[in-house]
Amino acid sequence: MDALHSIVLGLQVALQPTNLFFCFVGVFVGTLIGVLPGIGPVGAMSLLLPTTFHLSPVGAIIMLAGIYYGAQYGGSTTSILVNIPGEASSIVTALDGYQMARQGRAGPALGMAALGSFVGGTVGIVGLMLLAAPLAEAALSFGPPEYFALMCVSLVVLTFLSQGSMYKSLMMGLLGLLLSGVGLDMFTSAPRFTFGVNELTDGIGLIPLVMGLFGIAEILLNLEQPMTRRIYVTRLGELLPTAGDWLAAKWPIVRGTVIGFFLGILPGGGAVLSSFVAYAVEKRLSKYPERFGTGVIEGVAAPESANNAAAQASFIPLLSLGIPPNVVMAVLFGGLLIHGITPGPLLIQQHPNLFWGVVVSMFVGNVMLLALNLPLIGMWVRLLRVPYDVLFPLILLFCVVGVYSVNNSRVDVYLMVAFGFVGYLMQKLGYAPAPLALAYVLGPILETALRQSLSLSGGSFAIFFTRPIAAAAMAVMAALLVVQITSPWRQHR
Amino acid sequence: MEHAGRSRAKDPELYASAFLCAFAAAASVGAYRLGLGSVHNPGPGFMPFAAATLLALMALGQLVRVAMAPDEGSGGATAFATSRWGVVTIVLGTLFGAGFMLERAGFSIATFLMLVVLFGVVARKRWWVTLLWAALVVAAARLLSRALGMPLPEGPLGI
Repeated sequence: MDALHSIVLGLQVALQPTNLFFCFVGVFVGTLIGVLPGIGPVGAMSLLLPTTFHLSPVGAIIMLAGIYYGAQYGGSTTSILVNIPGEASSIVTALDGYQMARQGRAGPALGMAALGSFVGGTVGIVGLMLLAAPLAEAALSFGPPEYFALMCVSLVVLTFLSQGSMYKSLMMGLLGLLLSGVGLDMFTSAPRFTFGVNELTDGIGLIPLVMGLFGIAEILLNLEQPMTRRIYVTRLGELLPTAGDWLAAKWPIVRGTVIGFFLGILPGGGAVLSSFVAYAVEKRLSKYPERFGTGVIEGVAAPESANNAAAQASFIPLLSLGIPPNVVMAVLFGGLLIHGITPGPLLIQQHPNLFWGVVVSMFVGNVMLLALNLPLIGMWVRLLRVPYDVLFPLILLFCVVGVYSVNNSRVDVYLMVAFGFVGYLMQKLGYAPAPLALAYVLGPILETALRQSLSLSGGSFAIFFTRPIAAAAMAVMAALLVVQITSPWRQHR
Repeated sequence: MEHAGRSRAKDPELYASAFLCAFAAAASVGAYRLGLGSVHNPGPGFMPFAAATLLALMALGQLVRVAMAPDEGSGGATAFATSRWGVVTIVLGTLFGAGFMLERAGFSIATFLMLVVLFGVVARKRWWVTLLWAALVVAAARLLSRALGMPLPEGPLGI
């Protein structure tokens, strides 16, 4: 199927009224949760996953994807107007965006954030279209050893790039692998760590785990902080950046987009890391680095372009290799599996309508987001006035309903509560939850690939070092591990 | 209160490492009992054993590192200095209670009670605001769940 046919197919799927509706719902909810601090795209996607059970797989994935990239747009609004990042990927936007708002330039900051996001997101989608299909074709020649090695390196890169201690992140990755072993063994059907609880024979659910670690824990942490907000209001007519703003922001947008795209593909990279790196690069390259943090437009343009480009690029490893590079993609991975679609190299061949429909819907979604975030900015600002003590009970209610309705199981609610407490303690003690969640998702695939590889090789681990791709991945992993494990001692010296 | 000669700043880190170490050690024993199999045909305990053992060793390394690190009088303890344990307990207890009551009392009653506690006790809203908000939110959630076709338990009262 040539490129033109693929795009036409994508248009036919994405422009169907029902899919347009799901795309709108996705980007609307994404912007909403991006604006509201306290629930991120992971939580929102987990919450809405049960509601997609009755939808077509294409509609479900279009909606869930819309939530993710929509949240990148919405997150900047609170960063700029209230100095509270709605999303982790908008933390650096607050540094200059909020200062611009204080100087009466909230409009250009919001406008540049939306337009930079649009450029970054659109270029990211083009990259996704160009790279995913060839990568999937190459991945068809991968066997279990290559998959095992790639997943190992993904996990180690994730711990390497996680915030906080790398050593602790690695420990959380191992804990995630251990937790993924709960349930029936996929080769022998022997129960593992189920302790006689029937609900655990299918393993610990991804949704309770993710909702607990990210949703409940975040709310508990937010309840410790006073939520006093001063909102800097703006008028629609003031939203467009000036010619001077454009001149200053054009290269930061280009550089942010490129950085975001490549970091988005990397395991563990994603929107958060790319926004920080893009900001740091602009500060380094700037003729006036001392003005960063005082309200320069480059400090808004670069991270916002980067986080949107990264959000789109992170679909590449999921849709072409079947390896989710971050927790959001892990939830989407779960969503695809629930709908009977196995993400991997065959996805584009076997479900071209899904792949091209979702990709083209991202273009449509980006246009919708531009409309939602510029003319309707006043609506989101009004939403910011809703006090957190009204919001958090509603979010908790949605958590309970969302988790319960996946399997109609109260054990899942108990698990969510338990993981909420664990997540709270982890955040307090500096243990990153992302490596745990991603390792949990990759665990069963990793174990299958390991056991298949060892069966293939007759029990020889040499299979991971004699095949070129697997050997290269193992070498990268070994180098990163040596750096990680020895870092505490090197720092100590 | 501080022990003579040292502050308790490192305690949370020490307890966390010790707990992780013990948890992983217990898991590795459990995984070993599941059967490790052989290298050419790994058993159900193979992968969990590898992960648990490695985790136990790393947690032990962390425990030793924290114990030997100079006591700077801050760090772990300050992380919990802002903790509102009462709120944490009430929120988690309320969620647990809602899960427990969901099938027994039905969705509407269980979530109404949950919201009454959250609005009234945690958010400290006035009693009539609490009751009004809880009733409105539960009614809206009920309508939405029915519209989305989500099967939620109705309990003995059929709500």
